[in-house]
Amino acid sequence: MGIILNKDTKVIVQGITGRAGSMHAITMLEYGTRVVGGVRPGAGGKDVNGVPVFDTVSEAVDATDANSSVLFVPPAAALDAALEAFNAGIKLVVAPPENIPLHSEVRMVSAARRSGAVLIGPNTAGIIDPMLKVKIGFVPNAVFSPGKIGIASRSGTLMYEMASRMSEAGLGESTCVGVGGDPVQGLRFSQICRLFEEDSDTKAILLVGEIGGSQEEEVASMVLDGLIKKPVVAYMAGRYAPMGRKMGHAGAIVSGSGGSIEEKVAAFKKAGIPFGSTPRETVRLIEEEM
Amino acid sequence: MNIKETDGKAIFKKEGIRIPMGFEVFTVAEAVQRFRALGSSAVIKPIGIKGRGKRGLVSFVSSEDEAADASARMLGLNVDGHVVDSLIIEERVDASKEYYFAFSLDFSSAKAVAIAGNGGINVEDGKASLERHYFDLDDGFGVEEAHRLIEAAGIAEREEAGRLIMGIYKIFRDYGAETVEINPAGVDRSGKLIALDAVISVDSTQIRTNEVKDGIEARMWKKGWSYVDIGGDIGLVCSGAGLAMATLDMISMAGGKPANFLDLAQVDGDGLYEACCILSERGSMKAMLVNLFAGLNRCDEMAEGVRRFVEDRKPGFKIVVRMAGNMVRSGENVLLRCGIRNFADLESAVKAAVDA
Repeated sequence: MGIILNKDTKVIVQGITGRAGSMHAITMLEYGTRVVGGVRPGAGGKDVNGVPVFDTVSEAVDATDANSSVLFVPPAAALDAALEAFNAGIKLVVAPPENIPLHSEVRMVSAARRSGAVLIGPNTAGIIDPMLKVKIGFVPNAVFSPGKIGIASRSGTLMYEMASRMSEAGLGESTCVGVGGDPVQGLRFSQICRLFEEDSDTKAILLVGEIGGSQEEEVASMVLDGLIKKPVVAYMAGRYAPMGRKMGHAGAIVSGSGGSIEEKVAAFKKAGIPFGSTPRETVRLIEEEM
Repeated sequence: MNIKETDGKAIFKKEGIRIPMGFEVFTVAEAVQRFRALGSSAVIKPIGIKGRGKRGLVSFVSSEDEAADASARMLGLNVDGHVVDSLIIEERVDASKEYYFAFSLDFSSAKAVAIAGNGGINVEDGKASLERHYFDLDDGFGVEEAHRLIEAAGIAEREEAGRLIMGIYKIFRDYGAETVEINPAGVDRSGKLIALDAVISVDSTQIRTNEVKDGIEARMWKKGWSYVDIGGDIGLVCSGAGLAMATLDMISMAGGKPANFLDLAQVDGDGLYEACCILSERGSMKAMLVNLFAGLNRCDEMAEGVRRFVEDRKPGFKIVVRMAGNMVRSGENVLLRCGIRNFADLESAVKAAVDA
C-alpha cells in the first residue's frame, strides 16, 4: 500500500486560482487523487474546474474533511500558507515552491514538527503512489508504474529518470518521494527509509542523492545500526561538480566542511550500501538485490 | 554566499560592534598609500579566502616596504581556484585573547544555533571547544540566553560579549542570514572586544546577481536559469538540477569535458530555443548535449525549440538530443525534420557527444 498516502488522503490546493494551482488540481484529479477543495483568500464560493474554493484552510477543512494540502503559492507566501494549514489541523503538507527564504524554510520545518504534521519539501516535485494512483505535487505520472521499489530523491527530474528505468526493468515503484532540493527539508531520507522498512509493498529502497548536506550519511548509519534491513541502493549526482559552486539546487553545494561525494561514498561503503555511478549501473544493482 | 569582509564589517559597525579602521585595496600602490594613513603598523589579508590564518595569509607589516611586499605576494594568488583580486589593510590590533562568536542555521534539527568559545586558528582546525545553544527561530534569542552562553564558554568580558552577541543576532535575524560569524573577536589593549573578521553568509536564493560577472551566466540568470561555466567543450542543456548534475558526471566519466552546468527547470519551446542560442555564443564547443525529461512540459514543443535553433543559427558543432517523457513520439518527429535522431537512451547520447 506504499507510504504516507492512502485511500483516505483528501487534498486541498492552496493557491488553486493560480496557473500552477489550477493546472495541477486537474492533473492530480485525473490521476486519481481526491482533490476536495482549493483555497484562495477572497475567492471563497467560486469553483475551479468543479473544485470548490474557500477563503481559508479551516473553512475548507470543515467543509471537506481534507487532511492534506499542497502549496501552489509564491515563495514569499509559502511560510504563512504552511502555518495556516498546520493550524487548521492538516497532517500532510507538500511544498513545491522554490526560492523560499531560508529562515522561512527553517520555521516551516520546525512548525511541522511541533504540530506533528508531515512536510514534504520545500522545492519538491511532490509524492506519488503508483499503486493507489494518488499523487500530490506536479510529478508526471506517465513514467511511474506500480511495483516494489521505494524511491526517495532530492531531485525531481532524477526521480522521473530513475522511476522510468525501474518501470522499464519491470520492477515498478511502491511510493516515490521528492524531499526537495533545498538545504533544509521537512521529511528527510532517514524518516522515509523507516517508513519504507515498515511497508509490505516496498521490497527495496532506492536513494537518489546529491552532493551537499548529510541525509545520505544518516541513512548509512541507520543501515549500519540495523534499523533498515531491506536492501538499499544509492545513486548520487554531483561527483564532478566544481567545489563551492551552487549547482541549481541550493542544497547541492560542497562547503568544505562536509557533503562531498567522497564522504558519502565512504559512508555507503562502510554500511555496505551498493551505489551506482550511472543510472544504468544503479538499475543493475537493484536487480541484483531483488 | 558570503558577502565581502569589508561590507560585513560595515554592517557590524552599524550595529555598534567595534571594528579596526581599514580599507579595501586592489593594487600595491593603494596598499602603501593606505599604510601611511594607518600609521606605523598594519595587518594585510586577502578578501574572500577561507582559513587565511592557517594558510599564512595574514601579514603583519610595520613599514611601507613590508606593506608593498605583502600585498604584492597576495594579489593574484590562486587559492583553490579563487584568484585574490583585493586585500583588506587595517590597523593592527594586538589582541591579548581571541574569541569565536557565531549564529547559524542547523538544517537537520531545523533550529538556529548560537556559538561562542575561544577563537582563532583552532576553530579553523576544528580543535576548539565551543559552546552551543540551539533555539527555535520563532522563540528568538534574548539577553538571558546570551549571558548563559557567555558563562558556559568561560568568557570574562561579560557585558561586552553580551552586547556583541546581541548585535550579531540582530544581523542574523534581520538579514535572514545562513551564518554570521566573528573569528576572531580580539580583546584589545583597552580590554574591549573588537571584530577582527566578519563572515556574513546570506541566503543566495534571495540575492542572485551580485557576483555574476560573466556575460553568459548573467544572461541565463536573468531568465531564471542556473548556469555555471566549467571550462570544457561539451555544452549541456538540461531540465532539472539533478538531471543536469548527473549528465555532467556521465560526460566526465566517459572521458569528455563538460563546458557548463545549466538547469532550465520546466522550460518550454521558446525558452529552450533561447537557451541554446545563448549557450552557442559561448564558443569553443565541439558538441551540445540537450538532455530533457519532460514532466510538466512537452517534448514536441521543446523539439520545436531545438529545430528553430538549428535552422536559425546553423551551429558548427554537433547537436545531440535525448528527450524522454511527455509527448516524446511527436517530439522525435519534429527533430527528424531537421535531421536529428533522438537518443532514447541517455548513456548512448553521452557517448555520441563525447565522440563528436
